Amino acid sequence: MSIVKNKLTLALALATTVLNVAEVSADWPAFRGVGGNAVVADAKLPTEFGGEANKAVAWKTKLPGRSVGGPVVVGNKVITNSAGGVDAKRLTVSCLDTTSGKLLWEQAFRATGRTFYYPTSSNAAPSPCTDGERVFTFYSSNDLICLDLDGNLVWYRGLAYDFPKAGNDIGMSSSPTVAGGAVVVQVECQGDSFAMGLDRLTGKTLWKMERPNEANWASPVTVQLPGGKDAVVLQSSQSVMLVEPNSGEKIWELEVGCQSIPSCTQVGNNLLVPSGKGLTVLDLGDGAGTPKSLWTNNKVNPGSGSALARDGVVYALNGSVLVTADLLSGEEGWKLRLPDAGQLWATPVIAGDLLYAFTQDGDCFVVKLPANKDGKGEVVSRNTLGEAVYGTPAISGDALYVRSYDYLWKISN
Amino acid sequence: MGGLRFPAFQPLVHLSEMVQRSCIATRVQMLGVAFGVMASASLLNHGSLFAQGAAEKGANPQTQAALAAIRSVQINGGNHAEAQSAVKKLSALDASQLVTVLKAFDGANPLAKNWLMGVAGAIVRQSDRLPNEALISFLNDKANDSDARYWTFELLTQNDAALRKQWLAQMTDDPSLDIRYLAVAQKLEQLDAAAVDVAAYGQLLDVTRHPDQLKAITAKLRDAGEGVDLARQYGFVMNWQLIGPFDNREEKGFDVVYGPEKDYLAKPQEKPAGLYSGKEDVGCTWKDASTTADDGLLDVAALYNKEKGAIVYAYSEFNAEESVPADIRLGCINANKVWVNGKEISSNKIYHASSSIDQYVGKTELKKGLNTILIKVCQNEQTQAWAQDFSFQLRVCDATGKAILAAGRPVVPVKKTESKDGEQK
Repeated sequence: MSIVKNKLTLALALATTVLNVAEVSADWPAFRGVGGNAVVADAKLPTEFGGEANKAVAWKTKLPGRSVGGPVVVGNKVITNSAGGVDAKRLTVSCLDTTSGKLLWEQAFRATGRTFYYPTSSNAAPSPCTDGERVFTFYSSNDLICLDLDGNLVWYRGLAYDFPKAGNDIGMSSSPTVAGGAVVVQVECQGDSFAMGLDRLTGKTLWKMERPNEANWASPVTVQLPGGKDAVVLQSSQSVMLVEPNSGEKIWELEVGCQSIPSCTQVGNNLLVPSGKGLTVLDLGDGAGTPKSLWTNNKVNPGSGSALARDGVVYALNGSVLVTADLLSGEEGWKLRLPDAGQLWATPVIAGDLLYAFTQDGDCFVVKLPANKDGKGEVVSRNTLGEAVYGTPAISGDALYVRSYDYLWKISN
Repeated sequence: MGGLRFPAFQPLVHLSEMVQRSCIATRVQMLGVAFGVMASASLLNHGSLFAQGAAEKGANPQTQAALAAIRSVQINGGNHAEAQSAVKKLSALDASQLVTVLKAFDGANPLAKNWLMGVAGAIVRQSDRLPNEALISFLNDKANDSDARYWTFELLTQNDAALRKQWLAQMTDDPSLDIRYLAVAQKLEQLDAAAVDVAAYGQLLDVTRHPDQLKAITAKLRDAGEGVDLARQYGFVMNWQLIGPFDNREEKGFDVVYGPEKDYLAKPQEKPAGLYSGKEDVGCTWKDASTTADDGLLDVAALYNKEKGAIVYAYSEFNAEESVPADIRLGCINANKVWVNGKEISSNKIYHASSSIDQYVGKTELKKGLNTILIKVCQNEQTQAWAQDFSFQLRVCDATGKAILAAGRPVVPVKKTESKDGEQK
């Protein structure tokens, strides 16, 4: 199988080999960015934005349907998916210019699977992902679309036809991920439950793995092993495992029961696992052998969003309380309640020393993180977009790209 | 409904029409941006807006072969290689061939249609002019594929609110259920803003096929004091006979063929008679159960003391006036199986993952006269508050969602004060 090595892959390899924190603000290729650690060290984002004056809103563009996923950014293109029309069956992929917010192209499809979902969700719940040359979008209805960056169809799979019992009428939300020569999806439910690797160039099935017959909204996560090879983490209530993306061969599996909403996060050579007992941190070692469990702490418990880490500190939103812990020891650090925050679904993102946490009502708390472990974070602002935000924002350059229900926003000075 | 009219088809003679043309130019320019077409000066040249339609030009054998390759796409990635090659060839077609691509939707499987949408989108993006006349002609022909017509409708109107509004006003009975829904929604908005027009709402009640719109229109009519039998509009089956409970502890009963199921499958044209041994060897007999809820929901839990780890069978007879293809549409938050005339048409081992009208759609062929329906409703032992519902709703309708009513079904008009709308989970 041919594996495309492109600039993006190289950039990712360089960035993730070091610490899994993007040192150079560039593309945002997937749900929660590189390795799922939604941290960009050098990005400079506004602390105050939105409101009636639309402060620091560079642009805001209406989209042809709803999404509760986040966007991806490739070069000067920001791409997002939507579901609209009758019963959310009209699927669209929209590409906007990062500078102007103008629509560069849009491509529509029709859902071929089930389009039921909880009223606050959307058929466009999974976030897209990209390998730098193609974008892959997935929907709760199990339609998987591959377009090139000009919007042209590369291939399409209607997995609901392959697996008619796949689906969850509360809605599916697991985002696809690119790893090696594959795009990997995780479709776990009470019916046909599976993970699958597809050739990212052709859409051909490379492998399929049976998964537990229970609802799971967590996403597969691409991690980079020492030496630079991609692998994919799959989690369920029964285990967390690492698989080789082109073959689906299991590299290791730990019987660590995982949560069904927050996903795993790679931070350097560590893996943050939202286990049934809060958070478990693994040392991936050489990548080939079984990883070593460093700690488990049930008080560092990500709720709906996933955990992330910066400068040796783990951050997790447990309800509306931001909790912290030492990355290597698990020792709890400071906590910070986000006052009257309500429900938060999106994973927070970190730009420099600022953490951005969006509530489902579209308010964003900006938290200034302390310079060292002796300090404590503090809320520096609360900003209102006025529209529901469920997806994790993207950071590229000195800009924050936020997908609300019906709009894409660029927040930038 | 008469044919849709794009104002630009009028001869360019009068100033007012020139203004119209100018509007069209702007429309198409906007449309081009939406679909990724670079707006250019040539687009503003009125004479260049109307490329010749595909119908006149036809399609060459290479194009037809490529379309056939896409139409051959199968499940599990079948024929992908051929389709990928065809997409590249077809995406380079001139816009005059767009209708040829749209016509290929006819009879194509849903997977192939999405490939064709990719091709059509690519053609639009790379074109600096669209075959508007041919596209409108295609949209006007209701015999064309509904998905292709809806795609065309969105292409032509998504950046022209006035045109969209004008066309939708004529499309409340369109065979495309997507277009029809939009047209009914627009009409409802207009009606809601004015004094209650019972006759107009009544007309919409007849043409809409979407459950949400049926419900909304009914509410308006009832507010106006009109009696509406909403359950009848939906086609819900209201009268059942139930038997149970049978054992479903540890969810082990789903595939167990209990007595009523065994006897029904042996003689599917009659209700299984007699006494059966149920859960914990308790004797079970049939009992009548009916619902008056607008959404046809039958609360099994209430009739079986909220029994957990249990299975209840529901049986009903449907006297069809003629032999006809039918959808049997079930909403059920519990695991379930459905048989019609002894043939299983739906099986869903899913517990407490939401429920709604038309959640599970089974296809059948009703025969004239007696038809039998058996449902196996399975409750598990989950203890969460949200896992206590044990209920179902089933309606009989055609593929568009229009109710198919049993012969002699009475009308039970319900007014506002009598409404017993069941809550959807």
